[in-house]
Amino acid sequence: MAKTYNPQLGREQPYPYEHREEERDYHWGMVINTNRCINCNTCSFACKSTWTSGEGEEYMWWMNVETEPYGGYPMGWDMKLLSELEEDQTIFEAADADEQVKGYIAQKEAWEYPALGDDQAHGEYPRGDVVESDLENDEYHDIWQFYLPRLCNHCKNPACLAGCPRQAIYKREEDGIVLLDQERCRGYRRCVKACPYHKPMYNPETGITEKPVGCYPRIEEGNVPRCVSSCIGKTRLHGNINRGPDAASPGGNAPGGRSPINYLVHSDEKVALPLYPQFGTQPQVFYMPPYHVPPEFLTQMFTPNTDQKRNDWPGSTYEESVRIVQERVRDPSHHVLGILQLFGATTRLVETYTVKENRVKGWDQNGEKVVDMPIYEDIEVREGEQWTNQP
Amino acid sequence: MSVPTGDVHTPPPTAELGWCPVTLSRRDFLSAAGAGAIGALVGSGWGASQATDPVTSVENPLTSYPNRDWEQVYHDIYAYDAVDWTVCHPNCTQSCALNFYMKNGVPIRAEQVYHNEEPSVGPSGYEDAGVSQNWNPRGCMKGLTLHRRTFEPSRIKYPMVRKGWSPDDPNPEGRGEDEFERVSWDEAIDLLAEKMASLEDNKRFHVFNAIKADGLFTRHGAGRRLASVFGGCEWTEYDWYADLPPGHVITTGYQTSDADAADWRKSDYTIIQGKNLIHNKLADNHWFQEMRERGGEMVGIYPDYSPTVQKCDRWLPIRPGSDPAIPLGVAHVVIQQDLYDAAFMRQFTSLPLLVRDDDDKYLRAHEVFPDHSEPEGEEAWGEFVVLDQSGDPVAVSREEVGEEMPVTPTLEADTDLSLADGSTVGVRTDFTRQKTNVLENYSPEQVEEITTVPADALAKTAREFAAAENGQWFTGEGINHWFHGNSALQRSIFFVQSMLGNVGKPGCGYYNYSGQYKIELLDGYPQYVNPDGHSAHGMYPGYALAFFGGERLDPHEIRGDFDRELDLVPQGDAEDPVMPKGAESYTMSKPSVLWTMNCNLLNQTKHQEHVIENFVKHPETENELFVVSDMHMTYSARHADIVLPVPSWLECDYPDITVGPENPFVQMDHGVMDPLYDTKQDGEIIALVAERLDEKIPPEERRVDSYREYFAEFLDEDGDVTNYIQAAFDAGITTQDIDVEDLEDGPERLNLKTYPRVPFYSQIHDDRPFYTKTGRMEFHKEEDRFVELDRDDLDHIESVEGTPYEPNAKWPEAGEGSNDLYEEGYQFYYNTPHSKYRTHSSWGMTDWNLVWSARDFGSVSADPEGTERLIDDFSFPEGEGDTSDAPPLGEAFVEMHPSDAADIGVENGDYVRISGTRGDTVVRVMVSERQRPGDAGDMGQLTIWHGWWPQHFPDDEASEDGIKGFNVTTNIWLDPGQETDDLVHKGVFGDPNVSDVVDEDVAWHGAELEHGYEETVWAPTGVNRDDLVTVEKYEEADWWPGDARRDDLMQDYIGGSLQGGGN
Repeated sequence: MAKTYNPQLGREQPYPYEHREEERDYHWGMVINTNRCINCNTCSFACKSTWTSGEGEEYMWWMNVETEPYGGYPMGWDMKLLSELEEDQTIFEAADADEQVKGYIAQKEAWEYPALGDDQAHGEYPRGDVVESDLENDEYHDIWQFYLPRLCNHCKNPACLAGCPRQAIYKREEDGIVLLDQERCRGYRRCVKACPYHKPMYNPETGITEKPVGCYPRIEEGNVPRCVSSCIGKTRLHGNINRGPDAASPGGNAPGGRSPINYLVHSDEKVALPLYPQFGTQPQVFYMPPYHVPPEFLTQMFTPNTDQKRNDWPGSTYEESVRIVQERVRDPSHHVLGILQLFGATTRLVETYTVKENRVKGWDQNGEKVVDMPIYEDIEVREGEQWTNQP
Repeated sequence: MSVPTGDVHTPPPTAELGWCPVTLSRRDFLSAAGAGAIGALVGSGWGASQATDPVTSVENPLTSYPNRDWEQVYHDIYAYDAVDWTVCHPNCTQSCALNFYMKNGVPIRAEQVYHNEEPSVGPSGYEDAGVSQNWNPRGCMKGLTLHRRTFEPSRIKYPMVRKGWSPDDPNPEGRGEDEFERVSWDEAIDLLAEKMASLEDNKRFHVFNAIKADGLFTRHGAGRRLASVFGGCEWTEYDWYADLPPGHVITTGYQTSDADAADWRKSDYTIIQGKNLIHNKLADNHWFQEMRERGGEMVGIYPDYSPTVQKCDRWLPIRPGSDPAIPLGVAHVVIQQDLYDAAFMRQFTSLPLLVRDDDDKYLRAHEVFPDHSEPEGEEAWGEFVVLDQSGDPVAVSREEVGEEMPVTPTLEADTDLSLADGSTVGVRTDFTRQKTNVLENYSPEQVEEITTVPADALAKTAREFAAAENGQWFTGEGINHWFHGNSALQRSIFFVQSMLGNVGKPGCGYYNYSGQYKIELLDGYPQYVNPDGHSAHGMYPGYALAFFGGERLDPHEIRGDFDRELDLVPQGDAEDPVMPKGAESYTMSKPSVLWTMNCNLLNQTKHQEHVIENFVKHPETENELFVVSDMHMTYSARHADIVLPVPSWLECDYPDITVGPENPFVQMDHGVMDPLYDTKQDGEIIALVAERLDEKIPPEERRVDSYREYFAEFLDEDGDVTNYIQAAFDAGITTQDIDVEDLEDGPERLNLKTYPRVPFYSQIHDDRPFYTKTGRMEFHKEEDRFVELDRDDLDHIESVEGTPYEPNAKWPEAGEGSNDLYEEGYQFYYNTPHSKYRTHSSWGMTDWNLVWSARDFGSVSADPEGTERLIDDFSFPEGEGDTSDAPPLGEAFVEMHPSDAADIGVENGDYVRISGTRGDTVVRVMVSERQRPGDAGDMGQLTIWHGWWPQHFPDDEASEDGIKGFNVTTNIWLDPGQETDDLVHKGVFGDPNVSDVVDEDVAWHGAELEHGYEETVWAPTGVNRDDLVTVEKYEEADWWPGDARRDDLMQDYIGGSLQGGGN
């Protein structure tokens, strides 16, 4: 197996295929602010109504929101794998000799309850007490839940791709979207088994497997995926995760430099973390973690979860990374607050942006300005004595 | 390890992987109605994947792939041939514009409308309404399944008449059981018109429900218009369903007033009490979360771990129904620690006004000053009296508020005052009265005793809230639905907010966000629904349902008048004494004809067994004809005599408009597809009835020259119903410059004093009076009824039933007594909050919404593995005994704390019977740590999310009546405090403060303050939370996913230590 450097882990790891020498200029990426998420599943319905309302697809929710810690579609999808992985062991390293990836097939009944555990909280009812969170004093809710939107991560080390014996899964050159060739697939379900996020799904009617498509017909037109544009909680921002500080202007009057999601994920002011980076797939959906939830759980979920911290995240341990990010998310800087205004402001894919004083602007991939809005808005008062707020 | 290539041998998939491909449902639900058409269309690209192709080697699929032509598959699935848009506006009060993507004339998906953007090719978006992009996007998952709802098996396909019904012999016993007969529209209209024409008294024609979120002009708003010209009555859901918060009217004289959602994020401290805002206001919720990003703190007060608690910095767990004590405890801290804004209190509240000790009336100027003459006339309330800083009395009028106050009055006084007639009377200021009571009875420690909320946490919250610059306080349906929660609590929150100056300013206030009061924003609306001075009589539904069935409810009991002290008198055309004295303005007319539109009355009604057995099916019911217009064969439609099918919004011929209370928009919808069935829109049905009434009623007996004329735009060849909309727009200042045609391109913003809308802005900034007698936010109430009920000052009062303590009593006495029902073993609170996947009962049968709303018990498989279900296929009657069926993809459940479940030997997934004194129902149990356990205080809480259909509940084998559902144990309570003529308030439409200034063609020009009953403003609310129940095991039912979540693996997972050797 080839070796590849995984920056999320801060170390090399095996992967069946060589990486390209240079990263793509453009790579599909997403940031989700879980603190804004209200579990309305509008994203899930948007996705399903767009992509999986056909025969054999009844059970498929490529996009779903589950309530942590009890939710899970398929049931317990992450627990089983976590329990079988050693510390600091990716699913590629844990694979048996006759396979590329360690994984498991979720059985039919595990898929039958998409809303399993929905809105269940964990903890003791506070008899005679209150529940409180105070980040500065390391105090978190002791009865808690949070909403975790789940979708294909369009990983840089995709496990589905690694697992496919027919090589019917590939990563698109232009945007990194991971696709499953519907004509080439024979339904072996190796990808269903391999993907630790359980997003490839087998269609029992057609006998082949389907996987989320990253809304590529929309991406190709410069629009964001359905789960992003439909998000009424404005929890999401989609864009080019690879656009760093040195990138040139996309055109027009647009500034060069980072994409807004690259800032949230890769700048010194990191506020968004990958889901289960320890699996080793380099997922490209990043989560602004819930700030009321105990960091122990979040460390398991959003960091490499090793004793030794190797990557470039803030803090000296991964739990400290989580705490720092939680604080940044609870009390965002003006710059991050500005970027948060871009969430859900437009269906266009925001390639570059500026945050200046009370104004945030965004430009699409053609360099056209698609967002221009104030961060703080004053009240407008109509002059004239006939006007009233009471009619 | 070698890189695998494409030519590896084919593994035997099913054997190795253990999952045989099986069809997921025993009945393929997509084959039903048009849903199959959607599936087929979207799935049409799949044929290609069956083709074989030579296996070619792929060098490195991470970097390149040889043949990508197949990608066209998803382009084809994504493709559409047309886009049209409309507005989704159910009774969630939000109203969201959506694009529908069409293929072959069928909507295949919906997307929210953004600004002038591709692929939002529809309307121009919100930007043109003069707001920022931050309003993007709007429209939740319900809007995204409008097309699936349109194709549901539960649709009513043609007009039907119940076989057992005839105009002369209604035979009500057969309701809900008889077969239906398909009839023509002509026949259905004729039967209805004939019955209306034969009424002795036109007031016995009742329409339910016109003032509502959906359909203001061309839908059931036309029903209100007909009731107005015909002289009938109208019922509304707003007061009946207890969304109306009377405490607002009592304090401000105003129905309810809420800020635009865009104002929420300006607050730096929010107290949210009993409102699950994150699930009730989905489209505009982000403003609320943004408040936290901008430094806002949030404290939640709930009996259970409401989903909103996860967003709160602090959760104060409270005993259900004890909410009114909370603001009094906050007030205690504010007063005792001198944290209040005395200037604000002096300028804008009744707190400095003197109140007589002898009769609890506000002291009037003419009683003190010889040169003031006694006011004359009903509307003349005289001037009031304050003491200046030297203790001398000074007269103030209701207009002298704010900077116009003639003196700086003292807030506190307890003294004797010499009156003009030479006598002496003891007086105290309103503030002294409230302060004395609060300091004596509502210390944080005393409030802890009432509420179980720890005193130190409450005091800390109070201090922080007082220190905040902009504090806002939200309550909602959860508390409005308690007998005292909907007035006592609200009055006391206003008291706190006024002491802190948190009224009339951005980021401040006290809001509810419940219900249909939004109609006031369309202030030209009366021009349409009350044409030419005709106005339907208001009618409170609770009266009809309680008193006009065969057996009647005890009028004292349902008013909480257990000692039977209220003076009840005959009223309206009732034969028994059923109204408290002094409520002459409350109409009570027998609903011989009851026609519901856009409302599932019998599903949502409280005390369901009584309503079905006595109002609906009793041979002596006063209701002779029950007409239901609906899209779906609801529980109500199943009990109708005449069933009239209406189109979904997607199928509508005529456009209609909508407004919402937490956004500033007016929007217009219109259909996007051809109707699937033989349906007619409400407005057209009404028009046809009106036409037939002209034929049946001689001109001299009509109340207007022609009923048809009022609906001519629906019927004339060249008619244009948007003329009705435009005429109403022209008659309202919020819409005066809006052209209906412009709405075809997208939303417009209403013309209001401020944007975002901040209630009472003019009161605080322009010194205009509140809509009370005193012109101020009134805390002490001098009206006789309040004094008589000992509710003239602010207090916490125990529930009339939902309490272990002395019902309907104040503390500390209440705590010393106990509730007999509790002693008999009824020891659970019963909570019925709103589900996010439904709006009330609508979307209740929409497949995806049902699967998700059933949570753990929702499955895409009708016959899921590893569990037993006691519910059957859902069946919807059609004509001649036919049915349309659907697989049971979800079922209702009750949430219950694990320790309470253990007490009755119940595990997750078992079935229980919930019993109250008024009925019982069987339902599945979801054991949930979120629920309040009995040992947290006194009683546990059961939660059933409201809006389930009866089909979602199993039959109770021991039940004789077969009536089941979430409303069987609830009661029709009537608060006599809200049945009185003398409370002063503003009418729904218009602002009396400026009614002389607005143009004469504005519908409310010249409007004055009103008093007494007004539907949706001042009426008893149909509270339903004051309900004690008991629960017992009904049947065990294995449900394995529940067990799987309780094992050791789960515990390690939650603790963050699942991964081997992690931290």
